[in-house]
Amino acid sequence: MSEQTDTTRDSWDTTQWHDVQPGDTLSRIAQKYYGDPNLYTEIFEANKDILKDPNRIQVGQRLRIP
Amino acid sequence: MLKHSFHLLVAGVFLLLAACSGNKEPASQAIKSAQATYDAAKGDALKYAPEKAQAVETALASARASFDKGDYDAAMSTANSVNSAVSDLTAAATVRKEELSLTWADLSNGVPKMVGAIQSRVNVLSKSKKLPDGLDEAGLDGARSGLADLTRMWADATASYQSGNIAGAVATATLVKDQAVRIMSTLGMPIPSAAGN
Repeated sequence: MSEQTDTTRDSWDTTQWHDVQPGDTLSRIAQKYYGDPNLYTEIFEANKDILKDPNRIQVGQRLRIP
Repeated sequence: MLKHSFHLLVAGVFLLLAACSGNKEPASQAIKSAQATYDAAKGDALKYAPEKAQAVETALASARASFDKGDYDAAMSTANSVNSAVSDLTAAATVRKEELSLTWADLSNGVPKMVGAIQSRVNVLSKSKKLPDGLDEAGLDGARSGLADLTRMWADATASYQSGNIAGAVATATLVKDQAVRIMSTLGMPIPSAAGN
């Protein structure tokens, strides 16, 4: 898993991004940032513009971590 | 011969006194004018260029002291120099005010974003049954209390700005920003590049 800075953001942008890596699930990402895999819904809700199903994320997708 | 010299001396003193007292009214007017010029600039000058304002006040005091000692030429000369000093002072105060206004505009755009992001992260972490690596309960509690401080201090900064105290607003907003950076770091959040970290 890796974090990446969005180079196009404005200089005050506080958005934290996560680039989906092979083996990632929303639960694993939630575990990493929040310590609790059950909080995957927070990430899903913040990325509904690109995610339709919390069980289907794709390598290379860039997810907001609220 | 001695009598003649004495008469010359008396005449000289008389002429000197006449010349000096002849400058009394112009010197008085020059001091009044300089004071009025300074008074017109004083409001912003004391806020944005206090060192230069102090120098002008010292010059005015010096002019008054010369006047009181009867040295009207020096009083007038010093008073006249105040006018150009006030011009410099006004220019410096204007530049500083513009700088502070730009800094405030930048901070008032960015700092609320930082505070909002911290609030959002604290809200999520408060639901977590176990905290992420690198963050313990004490750290999260510190972030919560720090967030309350940020909110209060930001209200203070905004109130300062609205009351015309731009320097105070910028100073407080900078403290909020620095505190926000510390909290974001504790929570493992990215620091905005504009926050200077």
